[in-house]
Amino acid sequence: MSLRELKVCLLGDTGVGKSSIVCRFVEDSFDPNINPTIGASFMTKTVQYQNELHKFLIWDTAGQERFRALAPMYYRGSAAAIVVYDITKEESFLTLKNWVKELRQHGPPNIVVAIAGNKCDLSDAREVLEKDAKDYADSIHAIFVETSAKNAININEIFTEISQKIPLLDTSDSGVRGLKLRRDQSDVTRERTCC
Amino acid sequence: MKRLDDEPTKSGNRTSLSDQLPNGDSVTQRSPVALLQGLRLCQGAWNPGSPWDRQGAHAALWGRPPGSFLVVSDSSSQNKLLCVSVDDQAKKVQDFPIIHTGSAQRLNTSHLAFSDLLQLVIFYTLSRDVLPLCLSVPSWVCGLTEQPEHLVSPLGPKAWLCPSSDLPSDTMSPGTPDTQDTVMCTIQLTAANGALCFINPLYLQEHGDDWLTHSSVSTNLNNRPFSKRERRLSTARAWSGAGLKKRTESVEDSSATLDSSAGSLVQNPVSPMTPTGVVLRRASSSSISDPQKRVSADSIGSPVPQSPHRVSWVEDKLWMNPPAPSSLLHPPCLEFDSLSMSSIDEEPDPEPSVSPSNVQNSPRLQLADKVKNRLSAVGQALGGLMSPQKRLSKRVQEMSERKGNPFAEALRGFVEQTLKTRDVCSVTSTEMLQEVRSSLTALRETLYDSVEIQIIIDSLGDVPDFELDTMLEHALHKVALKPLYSHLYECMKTARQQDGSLQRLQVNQHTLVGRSLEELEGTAGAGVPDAAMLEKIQQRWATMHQQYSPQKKVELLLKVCKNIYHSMTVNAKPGAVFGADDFLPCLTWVLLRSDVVTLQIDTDYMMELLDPSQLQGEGGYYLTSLYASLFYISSFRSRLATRQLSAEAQKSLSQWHRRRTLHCNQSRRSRNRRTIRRHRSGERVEEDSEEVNASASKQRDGDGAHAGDVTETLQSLTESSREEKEEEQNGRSED
Repeated sequence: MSLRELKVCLLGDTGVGKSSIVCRFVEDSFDPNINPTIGASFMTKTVQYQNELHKFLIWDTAGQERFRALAPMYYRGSAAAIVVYDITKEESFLTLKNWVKELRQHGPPNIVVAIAGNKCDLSDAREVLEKDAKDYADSIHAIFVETSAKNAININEIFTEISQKIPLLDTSDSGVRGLKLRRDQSDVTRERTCC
Repeated sequence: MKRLDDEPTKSGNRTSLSDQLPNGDSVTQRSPVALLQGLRLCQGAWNPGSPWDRQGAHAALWGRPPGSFLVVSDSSSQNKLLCVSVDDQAKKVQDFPIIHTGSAQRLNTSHLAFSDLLQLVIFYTLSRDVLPLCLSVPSWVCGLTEQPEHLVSPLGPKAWLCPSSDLPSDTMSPGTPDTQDTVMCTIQLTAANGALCFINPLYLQEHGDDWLTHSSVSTNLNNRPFSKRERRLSTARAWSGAGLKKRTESVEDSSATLDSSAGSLVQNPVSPMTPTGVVLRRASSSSISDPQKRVSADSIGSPVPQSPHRVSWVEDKLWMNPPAPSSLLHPPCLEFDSLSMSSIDEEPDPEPSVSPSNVQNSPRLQLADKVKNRLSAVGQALGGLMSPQKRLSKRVQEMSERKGNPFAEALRGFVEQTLKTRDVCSVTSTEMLQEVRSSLTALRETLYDSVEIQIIIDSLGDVPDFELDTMLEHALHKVALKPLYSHLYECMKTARQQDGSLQRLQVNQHTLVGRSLEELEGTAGAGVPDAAMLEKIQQRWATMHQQYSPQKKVELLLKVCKNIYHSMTVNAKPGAVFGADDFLPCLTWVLLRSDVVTLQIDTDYMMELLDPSQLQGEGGYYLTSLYASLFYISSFRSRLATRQLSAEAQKSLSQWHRRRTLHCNQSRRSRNRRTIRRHRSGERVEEDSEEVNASASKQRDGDGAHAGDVTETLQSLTESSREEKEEEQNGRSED
């Protein structure tokens, strides 16, 4: 079974719950002995997808307006981006559209985009209709789910869908690094002659 | 007397050495532990009490050899003054006030803080930092190891400074082999992931050592500190953090800590190794310049230059140079942390208020535990689990010293070439680093192609390729980057000074440092480091700067980030999750209170030289955050002034992206090649490999174009956010 490292970056306004989503995803199978990270800004989780292991390297970005110019440093080389908005804040959905636009224009080619409408547990205060968001996501061929990090709704689903949308292992695929877990013993003398 | 006659020459040597190494990485030619011990024992001589003041010190230092110094109290300010003779011809003495801030002492012109005066002084004997030259210590001080308190204490500054003051010769004790059977923890070996551990030589005697090859543990030339060290250790608080409460004990304790950590180092030159054909540079040079050592060597009858020099740690500057301020304070943490494969293990002292008392209660017990831990690590090493890195490093080191070896030749050419770029102003520092990086990758490939390395790799069994890359990279850093890093720093700093970016960074640091976390867009609920933590972080930064290996630098960066997280969460309500929204402002807050200039240089160094395979992981993430945060500070300006600057900064960013993508491809390409080669069954695969190369280069082109786009985006984004910023600022000033 091969291990693939998939860099996933999180984009979205501050306060929409980007890091909560990751924490929920990572901690659902929390094992302190496995690769603990020093903080919630960067987290990893390995899941099995078909006959591959997908190790998600999840890069959180700062959502404040002022830090927005720094985002390209974070999303470069990403295999996927999860753009998060808060269903109770319409403004965060507008920001999301800007992020998608920027990713489409300047992000890595073939980047998988997932849209997460977070805080769906607060549907009383909803400002963004699920249908509107879904239509928008469809129009840009993005993954779409409404999530609740608080109630653990649809969290794993986002990552499963990302796994499905990631192209099969291909050496020229940017942002995806294939790692061979086993290596054959090499014939030393042959090795020498080949150079 | 011969010894004393040598003194002026010696201080001359030291001065020129530090001149050659403007980064402050001067090379000590004395055993650091003996120096520390000696200085501690005769503190009364260089740090005399109340009758001595500035005038007295100046009078005493007048015309003394450069580097001669005294520490006296300044009657006007209550601060201590470091008075240094800077020029014996011009009879010039300069004062450097020592500032006492909380639990730290530092020179007022320097950012490097120390927990006590002794550490401060010893640091400046080894690195000049802000001083015009390194402090010079009379050579007899290193001989003060056999408890001559009763002899030395009465010695005043006169004796300290006067070359003709005769010290009784019985204080100059040569090596005392009788302590040999109590020697402990003498060998450091580089294990996987660059970890260091200590081995009890008795263990080696018992169980043999295949990697150290032949001879048994030999009599140790320098082992005289050991009985004493061990005894002092037993009463000393072991590794304590920066936030020590009991200041009264700090001098004794921290020096003991330092002593113990350095003690294992000082033994290195006389390791249990075969001397065949290898020259121990450090020991041989000190045998020439240090009469004390020569006496010792003669008395035992083993010429020092024959000592071996094949183990990686012998040359490791970090360990040879304990005065690195933070490695003084935290060396054990580093070692123990890195014993594990994870660079981010729990540290022994996250809570300063708790750990000192705990440790004080059972220092010996803890020490015993640590030794035990190390022994288990050694067990693993002997079992082959920890040794691959060591074996690779050792082999690479050997290969690099072998005449006619293709790798050695390539390496030599690379080092010489890089050192030459000093005079070529047309080459920017980034271009230079870029070349260094591609040379490192090429050298690594050369290593992969070498039969010797292949044999080792094959014997390791199943190791993932990326781990092999990391291990070889690490081994390579020692032979390729170590001779260069001071030079690289210098070039980088010069370049950044010339283009004004460092000045901008400092100006903006000054502007922003008064802002609270909220004003830096920090979110509510996250704390910032307190004074003690901040001090600890500063020490980590300083240690980070000392590292020549970008990997090690990143490991230290991760430790700092962990400290920051700790501070963020310490007062937070349980369950709070702090992501990048909270972390980046907090990191910025910390940077504003740090030496941003040095950090910028270190960041450049890491960004350019880190193995591309590491850029996507945790280290890469926090390195990106560090870069982003520094960029945020340096680009924080009013709109008019920034537009051009920002364009430049953004350009450099996108260029970096392009470069590193290219390197990543290069590396990926070579990995493909390697993998294919290993599976290769005939010509057909060679063709495949060609195809892979072609596709990779195609991708590189694509990325290049993409990088250009990024610049524009960045440009527009920055400008728009800056407009808002300015509005905000205007609003504020109108208020």
